[in-house]
Amino acid sequence: MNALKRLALVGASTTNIRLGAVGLVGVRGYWNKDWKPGPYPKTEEEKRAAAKKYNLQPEDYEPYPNDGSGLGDYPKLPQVAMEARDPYHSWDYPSLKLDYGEPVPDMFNIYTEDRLDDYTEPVIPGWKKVAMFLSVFCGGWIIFQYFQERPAFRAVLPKQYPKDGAVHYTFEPAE
Amino acid sequence: MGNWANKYYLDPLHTPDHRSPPTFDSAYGFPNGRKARVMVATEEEMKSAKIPLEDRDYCAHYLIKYKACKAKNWPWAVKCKHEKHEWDYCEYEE
Repeated sequence: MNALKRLALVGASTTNIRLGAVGLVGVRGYWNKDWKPGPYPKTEEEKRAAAKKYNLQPEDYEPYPNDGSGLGDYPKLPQVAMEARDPYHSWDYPSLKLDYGEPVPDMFNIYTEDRLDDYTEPVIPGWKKVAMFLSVFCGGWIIFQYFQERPAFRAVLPKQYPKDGAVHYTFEPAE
Repeated sequence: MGNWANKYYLDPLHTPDHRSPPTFDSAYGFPNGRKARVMVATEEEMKSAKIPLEDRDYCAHYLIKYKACKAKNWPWAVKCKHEKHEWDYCEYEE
């Protein structure tokens, strides 16, 4: 039961985890005050208690600097995009690629699989994207400039208008 | 396409320029000369009928008739199909 409470507290920091936790433990952690991290730990004792609360080993636990960001005792965890995680591991929450009771980084919700991934190398590197754009754009511009000097036209003479002094003829002979 | 290829690539020297007036003598092939085209509508008529500048050609008198007929029979403009056909045929022959 203690573990379930811990999970609820840990998961309370993000919506996604909260939904999973609610499914498991019912009503635990659905109120704002339950999601809030505790106050910044000052003593060793407080640090150990916070590490236990977040399912971490005391040597792995490191809070964010107390600079007024309001993160309190929430642990500083590596931000890894979920898309970069092993897709073949048997996760307890496959849709989130998370295990049971696993602490998540504080910006976890922007690193889920449907959102950011600044961790994996892109398939096409940036310089190649720029080169692809420039080659298509400049190539199109060169082709355009080439045919700009050779416009298509309709092969007929200008229309005859009855202007002063201009004489036009029909196709009938005079006599 | 054929004219375009001839003008710019295949035979630029001998392809006539479509922007300039004809270079041949207008009486060429007509030993006794040709009948000149007659402009029926006058400048004042075209002005008062508000004929657009691009329509002030040798068919303008048909257009004036057509517009007058339309103004007379409006909204039954279909009654002027005869006038319209005359004007269209003249423009086709231009």
